[in-house]
Amino acid sequence: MKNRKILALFASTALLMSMVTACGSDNSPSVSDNNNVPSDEKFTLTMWHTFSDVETEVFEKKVIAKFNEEHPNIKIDATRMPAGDEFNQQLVQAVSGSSAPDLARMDIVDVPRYAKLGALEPLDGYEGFDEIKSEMFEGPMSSNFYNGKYYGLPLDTNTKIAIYNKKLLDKAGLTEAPKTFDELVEAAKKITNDETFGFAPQNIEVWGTMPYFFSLGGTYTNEDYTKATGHLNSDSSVKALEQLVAWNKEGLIGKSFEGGLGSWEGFKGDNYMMIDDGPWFASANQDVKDNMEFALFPAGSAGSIETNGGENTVIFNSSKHKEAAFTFAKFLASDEAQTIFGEELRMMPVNTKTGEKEFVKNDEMLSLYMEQLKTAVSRVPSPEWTVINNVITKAFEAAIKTDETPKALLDDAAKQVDALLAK
Amino acid sequence: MEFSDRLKKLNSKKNKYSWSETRDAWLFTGIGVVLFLVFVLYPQVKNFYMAFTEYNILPGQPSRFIGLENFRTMFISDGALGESKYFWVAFKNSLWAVIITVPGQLILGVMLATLIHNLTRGRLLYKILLYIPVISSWIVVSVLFKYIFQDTKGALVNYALIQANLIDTPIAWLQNATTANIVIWALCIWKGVGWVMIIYTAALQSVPKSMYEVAKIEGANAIQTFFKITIPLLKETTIYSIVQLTIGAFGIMIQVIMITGGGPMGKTETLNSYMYSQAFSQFKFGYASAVSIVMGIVVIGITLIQRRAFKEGQ
Amino acid sequence: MKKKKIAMQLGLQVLLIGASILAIMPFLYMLATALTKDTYTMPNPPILIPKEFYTGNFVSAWTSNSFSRYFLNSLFVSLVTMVLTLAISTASAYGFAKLRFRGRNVIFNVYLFSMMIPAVLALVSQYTVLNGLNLIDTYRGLILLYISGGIAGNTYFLKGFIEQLPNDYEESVMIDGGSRFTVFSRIILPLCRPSIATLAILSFMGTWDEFFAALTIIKTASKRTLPIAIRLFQGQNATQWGLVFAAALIALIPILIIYITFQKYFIKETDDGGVKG
Repeated sequence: MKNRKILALFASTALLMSMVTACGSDNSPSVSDNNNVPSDEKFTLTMWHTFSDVETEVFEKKVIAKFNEEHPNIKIDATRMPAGDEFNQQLVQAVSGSSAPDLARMDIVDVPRYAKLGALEPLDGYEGFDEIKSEMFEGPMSSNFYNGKYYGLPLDTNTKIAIYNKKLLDKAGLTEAPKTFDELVEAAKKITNDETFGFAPQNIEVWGTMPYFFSLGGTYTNEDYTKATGHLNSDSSVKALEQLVAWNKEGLIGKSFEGGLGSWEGFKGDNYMMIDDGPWFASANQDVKDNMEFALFPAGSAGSIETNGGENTVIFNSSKHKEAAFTFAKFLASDEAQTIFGEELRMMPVNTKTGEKEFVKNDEMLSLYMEQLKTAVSRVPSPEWTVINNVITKAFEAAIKTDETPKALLDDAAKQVDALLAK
Repeated sequence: MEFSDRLKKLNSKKNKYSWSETRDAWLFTGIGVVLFLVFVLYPQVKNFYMAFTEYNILPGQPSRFIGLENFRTMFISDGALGESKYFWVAFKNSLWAVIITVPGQLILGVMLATLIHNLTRGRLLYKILLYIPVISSWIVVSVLFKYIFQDTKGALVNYALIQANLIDTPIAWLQNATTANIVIWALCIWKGVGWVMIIYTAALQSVPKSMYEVAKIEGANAIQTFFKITIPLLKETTIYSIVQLTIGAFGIMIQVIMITGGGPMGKTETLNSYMYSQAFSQFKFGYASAVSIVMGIVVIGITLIQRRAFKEGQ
Repeated sequence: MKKKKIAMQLGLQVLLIGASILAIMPFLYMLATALTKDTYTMPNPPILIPKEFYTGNFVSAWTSNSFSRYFLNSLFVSLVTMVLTLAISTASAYGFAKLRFRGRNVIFNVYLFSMMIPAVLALVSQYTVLNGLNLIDTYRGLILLYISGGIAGNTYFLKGFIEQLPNDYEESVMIDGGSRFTVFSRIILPLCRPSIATLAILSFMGTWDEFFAALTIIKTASKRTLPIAIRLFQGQNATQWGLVFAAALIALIPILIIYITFQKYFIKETDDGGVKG
């Protein structure tokens, strides 16, 4: 009797197993090998991205819808992925398993890495490439360049501007935002105490420290990104880092610099007088919008230099519909799509035509960002960027947390970056 | 007893292994073995191969065989980059994590299990409350811990310590290596204790009550009973837990990524988080495989030592 | 004597209350934050008692990012994995614990060693295998991966318990003419209930919270599981923590239910007698 129960158990297990393993082909996509698809054939392009939920809504309902008015045969299947490390893990994994999407929205610093890996399609020869290239802002466009070819088209760009806490500006006796580091430091000294600080870089990583370092005269490499020695450890670079270390010792710099209270929390808690951040800061923190004063990043000896971020549209060379994928990438960079992104989301345009439009110029905040972008500098475009980022970050961190001198640290870092650039 | 001896003899008469027993054994274990071979062993063997190559993940692209080069990079510091120093930091941190978190979780977990086992009321309630940390998402509690250990006066841990007059000024937990590692260990222990607790409460219940009654009659007190009866009987459970906790301690990764990002200055990186970033953010799959092999050897070594120590201690 | 007993019970209660507070404190913080509006920054100083009772985060967590859909997906994947894991692991463990066959020790030792090699990288090769079997983007593939990954550990876990069971029962069944399947169902399974219940909980929990494999294997957005939904609430540039925490709290509920169910079940079992010596 009991045997029957056991048999039943095994049978049901076997059944479940077969359910699990059997017939695994119900959802393999039907792919066409033909690259020159006749325009009436319908097919689907997949695109992976890390837009936020609000952005995704605009992307799917407005931008893609607009694209489909012209190209009803190309269906865009946009898949939202978790951002950061996981996104890269997914991309690598998919590339290794021949199941990469047709397109992806990729952080500008990642493009050289995937290009070197051999996963991306160079776009130079595609029809209409030169035309769309000529419409692009130079900075965003150049981030697609690797080893003589362009591996993507700009999709969005960003930079940061200075955001002041009005209450603390008041406390420092200022009626308008400081324009230079001298003014900023003077004001900071008036309000600094255990819990209040003049300015707070987002973090100790390149993204956080680069605007300070560059505005104060520092730099990472030569112009064609082949050498760091003589640049990252030049006299003016050393001086810039020494200046930051000195201000930190004086207690002018917020704790976010060392990994403490975050710049957003510190801004909202009236701990930090100035932070710098991208366009998303204002929309995410509507509850304190009356306390925000926007301005260009303060100018140091080298001027007001911010860091340039953003994303590109890239096409994987495993795609079966590269022509169509290029058509979509081109559309995303076009004035048409950029205008929708800009008007709906206040995203900074990558297209010069869009940059000239009224809605950009009349928007006080957006135009400030566009103004800052003019002098913004890209991080080193290199397949080894993540390692270079680590090297520079560690040098900066050691400068404020150990007894080692900025000079020695930057000398060592420059050597390491040289080795990485030579790879 | 006598009977079972006879049965064993009966079984081993013709051959060491009887056919019917072998057949049944494969019926019971077969599916598991097959799945294991395909999805666990094969990938591991392939990993082993990858460790000796400059592995190219692009399908169809050849991977260059480079012998022990990956291991050399890992162990010997040379060149401008000196990659091996980062490996050794991660290696040390992983060992420390084992030394701290395994006994930490085990001792606290066994204590709680014993307390609950001796309780007359409220067993279920405590089992639920103490188990909640275990079932929560690693990612989310990592974020929570980051904020609980914030450097401000108002942050939970600093606030509590100041109120208790243990410190005057808030501690910048995540800004230096030692305290940042303490936060990571604290999270592991906090989240793991409940797991040990539930394993042991189950095991304690399977200890025959009669054995305790005999001990009682013979006049043993609670502590004697615990060491003389409970611990020896739970030997298998303990070995199992130690092995699992050791593996868990070597598996520390999400905590590092979410709480410290490996910082300050890469000092909180563990072998697993180091391996992850080498593979998925620097695409050095061959090198990462080599790290995983070294890690596997270390874990196997440690558990063998633990097993031996445990057996000799009996 | 009786007084001493009461004092001891009281002491136990105090210790356990202390431990419980430490265990759930962070969740109070989480709950309080989840009940707060506008949480792109974490409340600073942190709050344990909610200042407001804003349920909006729970509502939008449940309704956005296809969260409810992913919730059901996860429930399906975790339950199927749990049932299959229990079936395969108990059978395996019995085989390794009580039956003698050629290669038993070798296989079991390979099981043990395999557990000690980190699993993160294996995903790369597992992906290739599943790809070859045409199981990418299917629950079948994901579930197979989950079950396979647990076989070594679960067999090891249960084997320990089964080995400790006396052989006498087994022999008497076989003398009566029963097969090993009878022994397995009539003797082994009932006696191992507490361990099986434990395993059920651990298995469910392991799958429920699993992130990396789920994200990698499942490509179609509508088939995704819950941890991915929670992760999607964390944005590239800005994260609304109240939403993340609300989602994480909702995600706790099924595991709690599974846990409570199996707990009750096995406590009652042993009170009724358990193994008599």
